[in-house]
Amino acid sequence: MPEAEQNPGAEKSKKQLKKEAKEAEKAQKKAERKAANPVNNEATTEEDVSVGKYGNLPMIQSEKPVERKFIDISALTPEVANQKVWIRGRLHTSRAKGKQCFMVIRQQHATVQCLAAVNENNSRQLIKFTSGVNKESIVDIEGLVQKVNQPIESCSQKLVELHVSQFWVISSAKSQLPLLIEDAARPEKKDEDAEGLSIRVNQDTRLDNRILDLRTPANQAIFRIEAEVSRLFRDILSEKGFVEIHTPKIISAASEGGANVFTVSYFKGSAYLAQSPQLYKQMAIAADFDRVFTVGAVFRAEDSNTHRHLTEFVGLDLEMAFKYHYHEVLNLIGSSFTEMFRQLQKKCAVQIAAVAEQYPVEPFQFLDPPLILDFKTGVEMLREAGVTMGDEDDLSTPDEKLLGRLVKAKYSTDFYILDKFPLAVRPFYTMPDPHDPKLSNSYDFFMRGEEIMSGAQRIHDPEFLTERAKHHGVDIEKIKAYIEAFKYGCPPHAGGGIGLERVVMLYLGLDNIRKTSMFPRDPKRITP
Amino acid sequence: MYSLKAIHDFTELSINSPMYRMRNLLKRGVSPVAAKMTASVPTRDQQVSTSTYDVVINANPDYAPYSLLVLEKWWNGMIGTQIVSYCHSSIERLPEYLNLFTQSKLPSQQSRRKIMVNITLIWKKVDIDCELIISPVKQVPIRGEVNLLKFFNRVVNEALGIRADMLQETVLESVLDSCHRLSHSKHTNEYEKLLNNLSSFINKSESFSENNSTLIDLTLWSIISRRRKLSLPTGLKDWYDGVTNFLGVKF
Repeated sequence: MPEAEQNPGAEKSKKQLKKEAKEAEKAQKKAERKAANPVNNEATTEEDVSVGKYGNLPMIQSEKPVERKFIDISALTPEVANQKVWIRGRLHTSRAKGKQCFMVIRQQHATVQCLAAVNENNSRQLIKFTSGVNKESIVDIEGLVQKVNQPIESCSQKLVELHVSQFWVISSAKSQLPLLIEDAARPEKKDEDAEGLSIRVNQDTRLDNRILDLRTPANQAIFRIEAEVSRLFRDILSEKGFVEIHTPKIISAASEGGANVFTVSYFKGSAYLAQSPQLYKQMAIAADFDRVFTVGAVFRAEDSNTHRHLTEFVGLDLEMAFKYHYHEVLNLIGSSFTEMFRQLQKKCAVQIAAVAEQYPVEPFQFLDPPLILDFKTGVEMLREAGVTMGDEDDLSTPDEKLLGRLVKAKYSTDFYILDKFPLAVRPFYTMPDPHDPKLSNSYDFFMRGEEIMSGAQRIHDPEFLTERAKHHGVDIEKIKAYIEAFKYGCPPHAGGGIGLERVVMLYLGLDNIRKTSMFPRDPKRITP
Repeated sequence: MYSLKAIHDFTELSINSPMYRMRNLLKRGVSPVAAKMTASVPTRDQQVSTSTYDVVINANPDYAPYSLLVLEKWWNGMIGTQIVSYCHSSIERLPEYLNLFTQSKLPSQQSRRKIMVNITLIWKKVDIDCELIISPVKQVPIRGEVNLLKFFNRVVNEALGIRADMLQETVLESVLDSCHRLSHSKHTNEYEKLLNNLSSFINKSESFSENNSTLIDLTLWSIISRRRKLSLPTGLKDWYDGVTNFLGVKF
């Protein structure tokens, strides 16, 4: 048995004993002071003119309805100056100095400075109470809106401040926070001022404490932009005659060849998590839905620990029947993207600026209509820049990035489409080019030099599909259900799918997909 | 002079010499310096049966390079053009008068055509000067419509083996300089003054006709077309209408 456990008293060092003695002495002195001056203490209690104007509110259990009008912090402007208002927000920072306490209250992305000062209406106790409240606690404040002489640069509401008259704590946060919102929200500037604060919160700490991390203005903006992308995808496609469908996520066989699927136990047997809704989209086309899209979780069991891979993400997939040429589909998808970018520019300008404040990046540029380049042209551009590659080679990730930079330099666009990929580098179900057997009717979409969507005209003829599958060495038995879908006639069709998180990441120019997934799932993380 | 940037490839880095702006007055024909500048232009030794150029032109919608519309007509089919126009995200909406550029016809299949220029025209928030980009890796952009037309002129002359008369060339350069200044003039006074000077030059020259046209006519016509709502000196008005009719442009 260790010595410490046998005799716990022996563990105390001299230093500790000294500290304890000092504390005891301090407590004694305090008690003596209190005893010597009882009148003064009572007087302080008596002088509390703010009784009933501060404190901890009992847990709100919806006891009785309260008629109280709250104003959003973002609405605190000089127009509401000299008005008494109620706000609810989080205590972002607080600093007590003498008879004053300066606080910054935050509500989502908006912040306002509040000042509690001792005066004829506010007692010293109120100030003491406010200065003792933990950061990140939720508080209700009543105060008078006052214009300020000099803009408050540290707050979003720069032109006004609030003079506190009531202060109630609704929900208290713990005193020790795993990360400070101020640190998590600090701008990432490349040319960091040597004297400036450079405290950063690393990615894992952020993700472990995602609830706190999500409170930063940039994160508040990112997920609002993400919601808008998802909404625009739905709206734009619905307007173009698409029908939203929901496809199963538990499937009996792997939809794309068999690898990279998660197996789940399914009663007495096992099943897989869908890695793409492609088969079901195509079945919907074969069932005469003409134009379909789906928004849902997609699972990929790829052990890729990169900045752009997740094991679960939100897939935005679409499939469309066309009349004669797959460019009918290509142009429609391309113009849908352009429309989405235009609307994001208009509707999310504030949010985009909030993200740029923390992660400075060049604004996303695009062309209308979108730029479509042949794969061959892309290869020529790369060769001109010194890359050696064969006509039928696929683009490597560095090649993709280089091509993105070349296209940006020449055409001033972060968004472009590469068309007519070599047949050899595409999946077996890709329709070959009618003129050149080495090419295919397939395309990739790129944003900031990274692929966001891979699509193609699919083979809709079961015999030809079987032939192509055999050519690729795919086991026919395994894709029997897929081939079956086209047996009873299917219109020519094409489509593709994008990852919501990846699109948002690249649109905003962020460096990691985990920043655009609220609770990311990757090979090393399945919590929170 | 103008913000002409050298077009060069990496094998001929001597382009950086300050001499590139000077013309070789002792040697007739294309100066060696000029040949270096236009490294991407086919030389006479090369086969020029049909050379295809994929170029990108960034232009400000407020300063549209109207000359692009008539390149084919101007060089009598020696240059075939195909314009595909795009609107950059820096421009919210394109004015309707720019529809002229989107209604571009397919190039005519004339047998005389030696040069095919596929123009990707991007309407973008750029300076007054448009930018011509051929290859971002090997070349720097050529800025300004005047320089752009000079570039095309040189390409055509090279392809046809035309040797320029140095005296004429010098006069041409000087007037084109004035055209460039005209395109940059911000105040109406300055614009009118320059226009009057150019007007006297035009009036002194032989009158414009299909067989008697110079690069000055095309350049000046294009720059005036940007501000076509402003009144023109009388002599110039007839000339402008004559060129517009010849080019068949309907604004």
